Amino acid sequence: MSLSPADIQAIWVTIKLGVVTTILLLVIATPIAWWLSRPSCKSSLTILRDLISSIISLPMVLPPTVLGFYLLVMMGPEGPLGQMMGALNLPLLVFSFNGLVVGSVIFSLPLVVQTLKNTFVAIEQSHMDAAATLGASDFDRFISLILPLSRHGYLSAAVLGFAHTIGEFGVILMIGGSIPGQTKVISMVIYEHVEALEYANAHTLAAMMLVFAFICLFIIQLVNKDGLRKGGR
Amino acid sequence: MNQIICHLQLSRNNFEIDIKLNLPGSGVSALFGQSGSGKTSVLRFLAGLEPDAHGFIQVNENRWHDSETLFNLKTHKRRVGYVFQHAALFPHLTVLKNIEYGCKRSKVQDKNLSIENMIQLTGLEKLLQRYPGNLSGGEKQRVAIARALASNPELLLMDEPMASLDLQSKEQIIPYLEKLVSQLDIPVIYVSHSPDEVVKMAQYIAILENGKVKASGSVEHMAIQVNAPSISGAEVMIVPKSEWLRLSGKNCLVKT
Repeated sequence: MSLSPADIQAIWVTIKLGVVTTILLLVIATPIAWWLSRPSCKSSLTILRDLISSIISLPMVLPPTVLGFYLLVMMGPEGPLGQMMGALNLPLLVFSFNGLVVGSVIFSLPLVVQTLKNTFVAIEQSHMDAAATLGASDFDRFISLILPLSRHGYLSAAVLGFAHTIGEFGVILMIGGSIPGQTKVISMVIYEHVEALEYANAHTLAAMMLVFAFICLFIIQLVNKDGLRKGGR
Repeated sequence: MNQIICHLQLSRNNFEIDIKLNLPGSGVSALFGQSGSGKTSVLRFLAGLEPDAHGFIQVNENRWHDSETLFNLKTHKRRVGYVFQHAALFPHLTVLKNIEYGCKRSKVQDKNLSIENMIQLTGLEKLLQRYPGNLSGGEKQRVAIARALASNPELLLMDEPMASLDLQSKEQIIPYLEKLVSQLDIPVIYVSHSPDEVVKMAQYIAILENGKVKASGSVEHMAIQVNAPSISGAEVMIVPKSEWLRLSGKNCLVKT
């Protein structure tokens, strides 16, 4: 039950993908979740919010292969994203690590946005108002108030985003191409081991994934419980 | 003469507010009225927290808002201290860090409003390392008052700071407030629907009703009509003295 060098390489690619994707997810999801979490009196804005929220949530209900298919078409040489990359003299995203990052961010975005949104909704407007009257600008309020008050939410969002990215298969199958050292991740290696009837190797990696997923969920439980106890979010 | 001029027009859920106030630029002015009379909207407008409101604000020499010229000074640039009804202390910061929050961001430093002075005036010396979750209602409001004042405001707004407190906590806070008001030279606008608080604190009263100013004047020209045995009862009203003279007079209370 030992890991081959190819397995270890896949583990490394997977961790790298998870880390890069999680960082990007937190950066991209923060303004979206904040905007979605703030109440609005204007009905036109409410409809726009619902529309954006539905578009972001699509990957949650779409089969990953459908999402992967559209990403493949968009990132391909004839697709809009592919043409844009060509115009900028940049390499194509399809069958590359960067392409996997783009796909993973879109795939896990709803989960991270939803987690952060729930955290932001719980921040009382009176705290934001008080900080403003005490001289804190918008950015200052984000750093001194929103970030510390939503630290538990950020930890949950990061763990969920990382775990979701590590466990992804359908999108990667469509846009990755299983290139060793670049786009071959653990879930692809397990699939290939099973196809080649190498069940022992598949078992080792699958058990690692199982334990990892359990640890992630357990951490989130602990974080949420701690957050409730301390009154933080 | 220093003045606080506030003209607020706001329409919300079929409720029209049109309030014109010329308040003295020093001392305590009370906005008195029942729930829904527009008191809190005036305070929020003065603090720049009502983005949909129209009107005009001038605090002494400084213009803060003028809808006609589309001028609106952002909340964080107005030197305003705001004491909210429910204190709104930051739960992740200790009492000391809460008080330091505004002071650190203030560009003006007044010796009278130093953190040390505020802590002493509000009697918070022993609570500095506590978190807001471990404070009583009265203690929270004292921290909120110290925090608002330590930010060196040009104007202090207090939105029913004692409404959520029990009688014991109220009695604990009032002496601190009276001491602060007498020692510091900052105009205070105090919102309340409790006549006994108004009589104890204010030198000037504006009575608001259904989004309009019903009457305003210095407290010497106002009287309090008491229709119930307790002066903090719901039937208590403050009316201009001129009107009161035409009333029976029996159940009226004048500030002495």
